[in-house]
Amino acid sequence: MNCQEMKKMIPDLLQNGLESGQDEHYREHLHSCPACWQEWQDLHETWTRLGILPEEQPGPELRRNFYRQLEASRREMAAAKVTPWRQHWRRLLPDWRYAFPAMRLAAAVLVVVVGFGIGFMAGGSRENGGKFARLNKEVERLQQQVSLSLLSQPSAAARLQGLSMTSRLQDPDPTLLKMLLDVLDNDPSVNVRLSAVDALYLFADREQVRAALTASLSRQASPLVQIALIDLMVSFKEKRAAAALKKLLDDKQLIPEVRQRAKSGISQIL
Amino acid sequence: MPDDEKVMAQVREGRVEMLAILFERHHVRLFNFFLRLTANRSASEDLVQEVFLRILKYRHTYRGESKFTTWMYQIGRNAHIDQLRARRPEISIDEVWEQEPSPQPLPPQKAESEQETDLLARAMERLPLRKREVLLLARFQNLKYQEIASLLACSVESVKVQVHRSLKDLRRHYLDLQGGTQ
Repeated sequence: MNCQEMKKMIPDLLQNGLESGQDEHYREHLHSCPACWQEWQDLHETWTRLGILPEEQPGPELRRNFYRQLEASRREMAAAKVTPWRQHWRRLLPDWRYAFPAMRLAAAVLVVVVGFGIGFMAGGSRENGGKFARLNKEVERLQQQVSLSLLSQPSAAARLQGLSMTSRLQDPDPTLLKMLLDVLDNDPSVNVRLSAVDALYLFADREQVRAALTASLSRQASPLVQIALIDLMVSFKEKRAAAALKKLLDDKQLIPEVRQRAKSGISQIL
Repeated sequence: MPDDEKVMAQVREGRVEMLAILFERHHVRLFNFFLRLTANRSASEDLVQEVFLRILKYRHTYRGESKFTTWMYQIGRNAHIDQLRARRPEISIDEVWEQEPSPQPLPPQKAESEQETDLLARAMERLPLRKREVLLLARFQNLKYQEIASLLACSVESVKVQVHRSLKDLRRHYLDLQGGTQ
């Protein structure tokens, strides 16, 4: 091992790409050669220091534009699938109109074939219906995945985007519902927790969601979230919600506005 | 979760909505790559947008032989070169790539940690684009030297030499700037 070889290997050592046996080999040289040691120290320090550069977040417009673009592209593709049929019929029609008499028999045969074709296509459209249903299901599954991914982002703006995306879902799976309830209980941002109340409102026809929302009331510290939850619970008109509101009134620290809203809520439920 | 290459294969087969997964996985890192390369937020957002638009447009050309990220950064480099050409049509792209940027005035004094970040970002901006790019790819984008070599169409040895030199130059600029503030 000489200094030239050592210098060539420094970028590998920085990326930790060396096998452990070789790694040991180079470390030995570094300990015995002050010049290489100094160079390694300098470059390693600069490489490590680069880690302090913060990760910036792009503006929300970027995500909006991307999804707009994606949707436009998906529509274009769907339209393109229909177009070849239309073009095919346009090519056929002039031949029918200007056909020679000798061709008319062939045209009659063609009518029969078209008859069969229509029957076949009718069968096909049922099949297409199935395909569309599968596609819709797939898009919904994808939206759920993207929502989950956004809800676990460190940026509050991304989590809000994830909550807004859930409003497009017809049938969220239990993992996503659990995540929404977790956001409601534990998200550090009040705005995100408030939006979680709105997002869960759409799925409040489910028994487990209503139960979880009721239980969440006692865990909320922000008056804004408390009021949003009270309004939501009043809309269920459930006895269980009234019990949760009564329990909330026992809290001596409760601010007057929330107390007033809870009292009015109990009277509306009972 | 399916890996990037499997997701991209589905996008290529026509399930374009799957591109949302790749966007969510990579757009922030790609944005930071461009931001550190151009030091311009708006240009960086435009470039990320352009990269995903090109991925959609040229999805049929994805062969799946290399990692998706290598392909994505290849598209990113081309988009960046096109942007540079459009902005400075009077200079050849090689010249723009090798040019030493003119030093910018130092910022006002800030808190110590903020100042260190600022100095480092400025030291980075003093590197010519070619050196800045190779350093960013190696340090922040999780690309191995082999992958960077295939991206830059050069040998692995050449990539390592460039990383070594870029890092040395970065250190020199950083120390210069640090001296200028003391």
